[in-house]
Parts: sequence; C-alpha cells; structure tokens
Amino acid sequence: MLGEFNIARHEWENVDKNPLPADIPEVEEVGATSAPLLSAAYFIGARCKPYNDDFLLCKDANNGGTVECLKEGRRVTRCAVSVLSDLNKYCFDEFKLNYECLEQNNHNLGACRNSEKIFNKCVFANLKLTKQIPGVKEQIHLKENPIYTGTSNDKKISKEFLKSKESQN
Amino acid sequence: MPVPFEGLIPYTIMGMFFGLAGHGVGFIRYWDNGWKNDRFNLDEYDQKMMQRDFLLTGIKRGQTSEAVAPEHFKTAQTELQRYYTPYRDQFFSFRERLYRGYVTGNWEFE
Repeated sequence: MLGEFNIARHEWENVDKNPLPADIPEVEEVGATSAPLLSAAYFIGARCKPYNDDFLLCKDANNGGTVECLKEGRRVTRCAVSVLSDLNKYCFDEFKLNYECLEQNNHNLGACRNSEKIFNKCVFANLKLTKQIPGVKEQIHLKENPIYTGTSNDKKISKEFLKSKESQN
Repeated sequence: MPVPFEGLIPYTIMGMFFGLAGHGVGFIRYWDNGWKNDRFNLDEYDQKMMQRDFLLTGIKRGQTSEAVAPEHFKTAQTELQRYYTPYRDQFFSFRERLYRGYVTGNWEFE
C-alpha cells in the first residue's frame, strides 16, 4: 500500500492509467509478426475481403474515419485473428516452414516458392481458402515454370520437411 | 615467362586476410541477427513492422505466429530518445558515451 512512496522500490507493474473510453469496442489485437503475416496475407484477404472492403468504404465515406470506423476496424482485426488461429491449428508446421524461409530471405516471396507450395497445399485442403492475387494475368502459384523457384536452401529444407512428414505417417 | 610460386605467396596471404575479415564480419552479423540473414532495402513500412515485431516478441528479429497479441501489446510503444550533442556522429562514439554517462549517470559501457 505504501509502495508508491517507498523510494527503494525499483519494480512496478506497468498499468495503463488512461484506458480507452467505454464506448470504444474492445478487441484482441493480432499477435502475429511481419513474416507470418506476409505468409498468410492472401489467405487473410480471401476470408476477410468483405470486412476489409467494408472498412475501406467506411473510411472513404467518413473522410478518414479514425473514430467513425472503429467498429469496422475491429471486425477486420477479428477476422484476421480467426484466419491466423486456424492456420496455427491446421497447418502450424507448414506455416512455420514458409515464414521462417521468408525471414531468412528478406521477406522475398520469390525465394520461398517451394515451402509456399507445401503451405498452400495444406491450406487448400484444410481451410478451403483460395489464393487470388488481384490484378495479374496469371497466378504465380499456378504457373508451370516460374522464373524464381525458390532458393536452393528453401528447396533443401522443403525436401527434408516432406521426408520427415512422410516418415511420421 | 612463368612466375615462380614463391612470388605469389604474399598475395595469397593478403587475400586470405581479406577473406577472413569479410567472412568474420558476415558471421558476426548473422549471429547478431539471431542466426538470420540481414534485412536490406527496407522501407518505412518494413521498419515499422520490425518495430512492431520487437514489441510482440521482445527480441531483435524475433518472429511468432501467435494469433492473439498479449494484453500489454495494446498499449505498448517505443520512442526514440536522443541526448543533445552539437557533433552528432562526427567524432568518436566513446566520447559520446562519456557524455551520456555524465548526463544520465549511467556508466555501463557494454
């Protein structure tokens, strides 16, 4: 109780003294870092398109809508969280394989096509999401002979991953 | 006229030292990044995301695929703080560290 006035106290709990007002809806923030988010980006887009579009329309309608579009923004966050938790539930290893490759290669998608292929296969099978890159002639994951097929290290690790998966089954 | 191999020995040694220096620095950077390659060509978005990654994981270049962020992340922030110096980055860094020690009372030079 007197802890506040004790000058020998060097540790304290960092509590937010200025919480958000009650009329702003609560939401759980997205906990994934940059590489997993990039890896999951198109799948998040596939499931959350209506929410994302709704959010952007709201922003357009409200001149930026920092306060007006909080509700729509919360929906976007919740949707992204749902996709990420599903990915963690059904495709954890494949997801990890892909985002660790991205992290090693400066988040360059072209360097990780092999692990991406494995990840895609798992997601298509388990989550029934599509991968649709907007505004391109040909979808890169459907291309027969892409120019960038992934780094040699990515190929090696993907092969090892498939082998270990097979030996488990 | 063939060059006798003895004449090339100094150049071999010099080349080896260049190689040692380059690979040594490369190894240290790789280690310092948590056994990851350097990031390069970073734009402001990338910088911001790396900042956010640090707030989420608490380590440099840490990554996690956790769906929900911990509670404290909602109000977490970092601010870049600098002390005043008229000679920023112009002289030796040890001098600036001394200055920092005088000003902040923190004398731990790691």
